[in-house]
Amino acid sequence: MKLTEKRIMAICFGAVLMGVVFLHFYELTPRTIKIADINEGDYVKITGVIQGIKLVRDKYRHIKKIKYIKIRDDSGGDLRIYAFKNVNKDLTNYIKSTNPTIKEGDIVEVIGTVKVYNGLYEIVLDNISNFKLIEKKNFKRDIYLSPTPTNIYASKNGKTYHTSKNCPYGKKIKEDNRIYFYSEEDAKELGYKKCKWCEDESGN
Amino acid sequence: MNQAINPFNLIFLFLGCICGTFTGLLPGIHPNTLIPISLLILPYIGSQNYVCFLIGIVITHYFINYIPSSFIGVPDDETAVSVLPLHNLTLKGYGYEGVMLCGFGGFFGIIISIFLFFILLFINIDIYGTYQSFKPFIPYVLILLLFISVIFSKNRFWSIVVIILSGLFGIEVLYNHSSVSNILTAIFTGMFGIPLLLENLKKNKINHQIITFPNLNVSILKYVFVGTIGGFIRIFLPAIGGAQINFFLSKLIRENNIKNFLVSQGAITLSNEVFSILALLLIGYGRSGTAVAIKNLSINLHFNIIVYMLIGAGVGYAILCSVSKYFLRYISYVNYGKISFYLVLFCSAVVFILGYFSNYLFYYLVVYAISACIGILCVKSKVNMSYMMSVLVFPTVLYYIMH
Repeated sequence: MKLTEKRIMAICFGAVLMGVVFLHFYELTPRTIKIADINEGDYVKITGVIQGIKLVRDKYRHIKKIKYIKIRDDSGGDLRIYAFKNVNKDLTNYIKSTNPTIKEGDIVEVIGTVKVYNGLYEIVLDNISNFKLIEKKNFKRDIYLSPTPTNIYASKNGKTYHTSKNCPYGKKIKEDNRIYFYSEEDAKELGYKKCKWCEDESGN
Repeated sequence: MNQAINPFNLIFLFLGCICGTFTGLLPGIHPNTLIPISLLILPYIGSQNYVCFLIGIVITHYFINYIPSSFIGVPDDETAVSVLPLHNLTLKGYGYEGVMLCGFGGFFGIIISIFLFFILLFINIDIYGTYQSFKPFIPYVLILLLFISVIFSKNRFWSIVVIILSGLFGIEVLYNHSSVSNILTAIFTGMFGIPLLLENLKKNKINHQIITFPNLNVSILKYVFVGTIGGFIRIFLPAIGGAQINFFLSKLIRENNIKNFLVSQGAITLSNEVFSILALLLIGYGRSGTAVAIKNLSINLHFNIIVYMLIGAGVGYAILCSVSKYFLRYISYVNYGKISFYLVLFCSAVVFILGYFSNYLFYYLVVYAISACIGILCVKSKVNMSYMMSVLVFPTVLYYIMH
């Protein structure tokens, strides 16, 4: 069969169409590697422990948005995971989907292309299916603030909580600056210390 | 300039120019492929010297790149529009003139770019703010530019076919799949390198070359200026290559004069690279691979890089003048078909090696093969090669619309 110009064009046209269809169904398999071995541009699957989650919370401490998640594995390397726009919403919902929420210490798996920004390795999630909780290790309960007044309150700018309405120090806190806890344990978990006056009052 | 010119920086600038000479002669090698390789020497020479080396290699590469485009007929995404007129000039015996015109455009394009940069600095225009307000319109501008290019094309049916096939291919590789490092090398080598090399396999010799500097007049600077503006506008249009900007410009200014066309080609490519690097000084961010590499070094950039760019431009143009003369003296004696055959093997080897080290060799080779088929279809149907840039335009439009 002689290869005329038209035949070559037909073969190329057919090859391109078949090739595009093939690529549509072909899935790239990410490489499973350790964080210390990654390079910029690698398409990888990494399993690591959450070292930190940078969150944006509302005034009652409910999670509004995830800024980034930092993970680390046993190779000693660490990596940041970012998500933007709709993927960020999906990630935030995913983090909140467990009880307690996904936190530091939990083991997760992430798939994506490694990028470098400001000298740090990061993966920008393009789909929530590329982020998965593998094992929940941190079962510390989630602490939220009460939207309605309770007996346990503090200033949002301080580190002392009060349990008495008559506390002369507590009375000074303006209503706009008050935060309310569900329990004293919550206040202590968040690093607040009981007011001495309220301590003595409750002792009496 | 608040920093003196360091002699060591100059040495690395010249070293970069020498390396850029070799890389510019090799078809299928794009500056973005050079940058990861060049990073290997960074720990040994320091950041400031590396910046000068990078400037030298990239500017000279773009100058010298006109040689394989013109003499062998192997373009890249930057020279895709100019390759046929340049190559036709070579086949007629006037290759040197064609290359000199592109080099002239590039050299003066760099000078005008620097001049425009100082004007922008003086009037203190908020380029970043302008870009942010322009960003939502980018996908529609890209669609409009594609539409205009189809309207002006001679072979509308095949132009549309090539645009759609390239675009769908680009969506699959660059949007639907996670990005694989250096996949653009496989795409551009396949699309722009292989088809013309395969066409040249049938040729044995080309005409004897006449080595004369072209007659230039002052009016040619008008086209350098137009090309420089095109290079500046290109910064705001992601995915649009120099070839496409020049194609749109050539339709808008209705330019039929080959000399003016080639001069504006040279200006667009070099001015775009220079503007991209200078944007680092203006807004702290640049679009080209070189600008991103310099930004990632996290060093304080000083205005003395302008001097290094000017020196690099002068050296690059001088090397272009002498190397192209040397090439042309001997090109009519060599077996053209054999050179093209070895270049096909070389380009394929580069893609194979990059694919092997990316750990996705099969995927790389499939992408390379499809790119080559699109390129062959484009050449056989006599459609302008710049239409294949839809491979970048379609995924970019999709990305901006969906995000």
